[in-house]
Amino acid sequence: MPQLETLWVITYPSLRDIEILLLHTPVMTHVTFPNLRKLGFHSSSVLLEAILPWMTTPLIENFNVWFRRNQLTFPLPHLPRFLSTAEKLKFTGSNATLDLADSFASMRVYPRQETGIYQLEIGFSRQHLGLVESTAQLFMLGSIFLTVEHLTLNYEGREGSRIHYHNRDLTQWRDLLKSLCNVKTLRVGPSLVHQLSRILQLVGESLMEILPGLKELSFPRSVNDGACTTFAEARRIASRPITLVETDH
Amino acid sequence: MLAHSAPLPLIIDDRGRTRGSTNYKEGIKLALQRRDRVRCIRLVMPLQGMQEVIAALDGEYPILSSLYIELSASMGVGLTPTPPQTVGLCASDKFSIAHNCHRPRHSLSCLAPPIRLPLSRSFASSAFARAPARDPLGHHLPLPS
Repeated sequence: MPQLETLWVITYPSLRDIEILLLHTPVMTHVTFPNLRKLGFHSSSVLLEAILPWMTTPLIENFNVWFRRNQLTFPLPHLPRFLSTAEKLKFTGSNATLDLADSFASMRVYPRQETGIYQLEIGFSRQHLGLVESTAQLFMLGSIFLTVEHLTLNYEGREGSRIHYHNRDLTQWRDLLKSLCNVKTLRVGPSLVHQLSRILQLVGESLMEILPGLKELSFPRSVNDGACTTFAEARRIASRPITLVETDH
Repeated sequence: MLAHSAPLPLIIDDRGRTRGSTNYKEGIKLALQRRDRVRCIRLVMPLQGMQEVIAALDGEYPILSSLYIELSASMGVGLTPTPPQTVGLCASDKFSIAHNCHRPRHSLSCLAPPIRLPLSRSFASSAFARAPARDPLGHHLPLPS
């Protein structure tokens, strides 16, 4: 298929079906798609991991991966490898948007240039997984995300801004934020500002470890409770100033 | 019919409406034999039917530009029983086709990413209730007609 530009693989069968399928017909042929630009995959991580080592896509520009309910299992060694070998999928300095909702968690990564076309979308049905655990899983799906420089965090769910976190969750959030070494700009949606405030209040001695490269923190004016201002002031005193940007939405 | 038709590019577009019936599968296999004419393929069928058709996808397809394969548990019997809630959700979880923003409207846009109908809130927390609602350009895709 030398001219194939778009490939979508979508499955509904259960994980057990996929395991049986792979058992009976294991992938054994290496395939190069010399012209493939877009790859969409909505299925299980088991199937994805079985396929990825056997395909080469030198020109891939858009990769869309969704894992269905109960069909995301770790580890996934081939996914990061696949992403890192795709020459046109370079994430250093890119923009990422992390979307959390009641039923799913996803992350989109856009290139450094503001083309408006995402290069990568990875998502999964998060079911009963907490927000912080879902975010952690997204980070595990692609350490590549940790190279992004501009990050937007959104939550649109039933709980809205009334999400209640235990201290354990906040500690996990703090650890996740510590891992975002290259983020220069962080935009936080209204439902997460309060949580971010609580995290920042817990920072204490690890002030400089949280988002160490941060230059700008953006959040809706209507939910500013002062914690971000306090954080910014602490960073200024530590000679690592950040700019606070209050938005209308 | 294919043997006597003009050698125009072929679009094989099975949206699952025929539920993978034998006659329909045979028609697809015949069309797949015209390898040098097949431009787009979209197959939506259960696993068993899909295996048959995929087996016919043999050899080089020099002009094939888009391939969409969807295994649907809602339209047939898989290898293991399908959980009841999955069946119920799939009935509402149909996809539609959006125009591929990278191509002119008259071109072969039939294989653009699928759109999931937004499920009602009661369903949303219990299933894979969301797939990309936007294409890679970030455009909101139209709902199915």
